[in-house]
Amino acid sequence: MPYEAELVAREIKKSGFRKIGIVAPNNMLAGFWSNLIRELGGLDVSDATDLIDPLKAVKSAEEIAYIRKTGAMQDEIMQKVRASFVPVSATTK
Amino acid sequence: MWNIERDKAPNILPRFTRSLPATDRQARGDRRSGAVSGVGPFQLRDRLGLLGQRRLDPAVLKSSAHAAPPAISFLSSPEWSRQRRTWRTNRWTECRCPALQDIAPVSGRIGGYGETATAERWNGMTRPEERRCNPASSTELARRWRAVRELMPAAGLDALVVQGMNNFNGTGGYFRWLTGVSVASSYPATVIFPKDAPMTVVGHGASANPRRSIRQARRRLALASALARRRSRRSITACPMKRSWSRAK
Repeated sequence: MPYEAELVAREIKKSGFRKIGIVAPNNMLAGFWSNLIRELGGLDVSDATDLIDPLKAVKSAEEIAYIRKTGAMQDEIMQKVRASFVPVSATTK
Repeated sequence: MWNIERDKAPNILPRFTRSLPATDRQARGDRRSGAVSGVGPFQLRDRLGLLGQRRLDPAVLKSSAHAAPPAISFLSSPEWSRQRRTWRTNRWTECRCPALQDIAPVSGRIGGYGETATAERWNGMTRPEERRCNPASSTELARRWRAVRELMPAAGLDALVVQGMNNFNGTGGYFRWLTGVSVASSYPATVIFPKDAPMTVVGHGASANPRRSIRQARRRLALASALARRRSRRSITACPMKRSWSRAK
């Protein structure tokens, strides 16, 4: 029964890749990771998280706009929620 | 204390509302339209009246661009599908809060599946990726792919393996950052990102098949035709229940 690790390893081998970078291996499922390493036996597997992190950290103009938009959205939601609160004294009477 | 049962507070306890307007759901006789489900920020925002304000305006609804298409020809009419796509696109344009529209430009059509996204395929439901507000544009995704691929040769890597699950939890958003799609369920999705070829995605089941929603670097490969686009989008679906696996053609 092929699971993700077997499918991923099969595709990697079929494509002829020799050096594989795993991004955030600490966050992967244990079964996936152990099976992937077993299936990729003989290949050079390394942690490539540090390759991606600096790229993610530097935000583009579009990403910055989305961050600002998300902040404004959260502010607006909290203002609406706060306005809907009713004091306890008003609800228990 | 604020007692939900006693005080009810109907205005801030949103029920799950599907994207189709109530009249459309009723016309189809959809019995599931009243089902209560999870309360996410999108639903909360919708319930609070922060979304779709112009969509709810009767004057706007009367215009053909914003009115929901008739449900009578739901299953077979190409014209209905065309109208629905138009309505969807316009609806998403209006889904942004008017007060926020000056912050970021609208990025355009959502998702990468375009014309193949029909209501029939999802039984009238909106695809999860369509419910997302403000997805990363194709230009932005291409920028990320280009940045990663510029660094991969120096690192001596032939391919990256990135996994995502449970939306953003535990994965640092790497899968979402690379693909533009977040994996909502606890069933992981894994992407193989080669240095010089389109991505390969391994996911679970037909409904979670990300082939239709993940945008690939077809521009980078200069593949323009529909057939080439299909070939450039490779996806493998794991089907443990069926004890088989298949490659999407």
